[in-house]
Amino acid sequence: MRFIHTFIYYLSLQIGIMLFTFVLFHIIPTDPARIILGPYADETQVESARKELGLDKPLLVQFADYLYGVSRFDFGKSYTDNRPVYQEVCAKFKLSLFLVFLSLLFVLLYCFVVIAGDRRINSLLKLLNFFFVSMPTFFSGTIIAVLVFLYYPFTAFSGELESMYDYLYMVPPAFVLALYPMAILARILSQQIESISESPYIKYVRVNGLSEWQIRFRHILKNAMIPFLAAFSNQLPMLFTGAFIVEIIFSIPAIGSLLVTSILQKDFPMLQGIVIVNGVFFILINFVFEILYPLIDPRINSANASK
Amino acid sequence: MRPNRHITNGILFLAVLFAFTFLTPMLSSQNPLDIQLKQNFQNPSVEHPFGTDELGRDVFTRVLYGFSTTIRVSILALCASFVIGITLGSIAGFFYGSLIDMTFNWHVSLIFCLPFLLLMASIMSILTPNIVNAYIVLACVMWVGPARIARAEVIRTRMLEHVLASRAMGNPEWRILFRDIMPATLESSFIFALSYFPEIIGLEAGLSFLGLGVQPPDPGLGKMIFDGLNYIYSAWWLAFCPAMVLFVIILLTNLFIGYRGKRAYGF
Repeated sequence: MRFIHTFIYYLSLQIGIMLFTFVLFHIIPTDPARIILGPYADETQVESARKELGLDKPLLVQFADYLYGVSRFDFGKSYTDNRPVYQEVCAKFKLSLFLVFLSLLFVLLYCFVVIAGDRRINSLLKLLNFFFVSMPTFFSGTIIAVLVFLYYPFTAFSGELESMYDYLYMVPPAFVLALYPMAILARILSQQIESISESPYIKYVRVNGLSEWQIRFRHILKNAMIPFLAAFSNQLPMLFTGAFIVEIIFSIPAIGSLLVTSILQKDFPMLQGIVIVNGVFFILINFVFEILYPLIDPRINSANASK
Repeated sequence: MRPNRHITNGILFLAVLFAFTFLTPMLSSQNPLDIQLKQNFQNPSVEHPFGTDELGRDVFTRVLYGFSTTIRVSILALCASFVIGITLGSIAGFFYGSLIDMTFNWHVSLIFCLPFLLLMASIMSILTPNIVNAYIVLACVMWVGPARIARAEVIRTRMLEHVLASRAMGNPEWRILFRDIMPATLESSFIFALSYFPEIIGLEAGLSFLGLGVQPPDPGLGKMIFDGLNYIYSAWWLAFCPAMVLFVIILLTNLFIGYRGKRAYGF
């Protein structure tokens, strides 16, 4: 029952995103037909282009057409060069996704150090965290871009993930991207671990003679998981915001660069496609997390049931 | 009410920063728009502390002007988003569980579903890109953070005894909300809003980076970084200096307000 309720809620958010993009890009003061044909086209040409795009129909019919198209993964064509939007956005989104995935590996590694590290390492990491949190992507990005240019051997990027070199090229940008979320998440994790270590059940486990390793990874981590995952799902959109900027700094042709060019060219179907693909992705992620919480910590479900 | 250390610190810091933006243009005697093609791409020196750019303009002066725009816009956006957020959030919390609350929650989750920069960029793309619109869009999106906290605080406060007493005295509902409930929620939502300040600065710079903030030839920190990336291997100071200024601002902000307050309140 709860599952269905959550599902309907997220479905409504999905429709909300569609409605948002539709309203946003259909109240634009400029005429799309004009953008396609340029300023020198005459009125009859513009009129026929409008008919072709379906802009002469009433708004509700346009919205129905649009929903029908989106449900078949047809987001229209780019105004500038007639590329199908969906394929284009998906290809770029894959690249962004890979970058984010790679940076998540860095984040996980860092979190592992936080969990396994002793007090001295953790107090050092706290200082590091403070710097990483304060470091805008612009700053770390430009420094590492220069360092990569000077010292990193794999500076050739073909534009797609084809050979081993392309994968290796993505490592420094992923590291830049990882700095901010890993500091935030490590901070939350170490706070959680500190407070949970004080609790009686951990003392009991320790008295029973379990090794420090077992205590941390089996007993403390389980209770630290929910705040960590909540922060993680909050950080994910932020990670993508950072990814746009990192992609531009390292000239990776992914969503960030696509965003910049489509804003410059006023390519509204492309923008619409970017927003929808991102929206669908994040709503799915949030949905999965919402389902995961009670599975990880059964107390959440029982708390909801008793309300 | 005893003044809260984090709040007084925060307000003081923002006030000093805001006052500082009016002083910064005086630190340099040069014009940020003054083009001297003969002096382009000069290394940082005594005359030009941050070097000169591709048109021979003094980067130091441009950074100072960009800094003051960024800070002014960010502080104004912070105040606006705080006011909008706390009003909407408390109204939603006051009518907890009703249709108003559900609509509020739905909208907040919708805004949180997209990366902020993407959301702002898509709204900005249909508007004329300039700094006023950037400010409006920032305020219209960033209210969700304080609003969530304000809602949670109101839900917690509205069942307390002093609220019940006020209701028993026959005060009208709006008076109960604005006089009895809201003051109790101000503290934590303000701390939370303050901790958002570095993020607002980053987003303002991000908008400018995407070409949606300050329009050329006027200097904006993000735009300067974006343009400087073209010359990053030959003239590193073009992108590095504005980025470093951003880093210093955010570091100082975290040092004085965000980080400690946030930790004290456990956000």
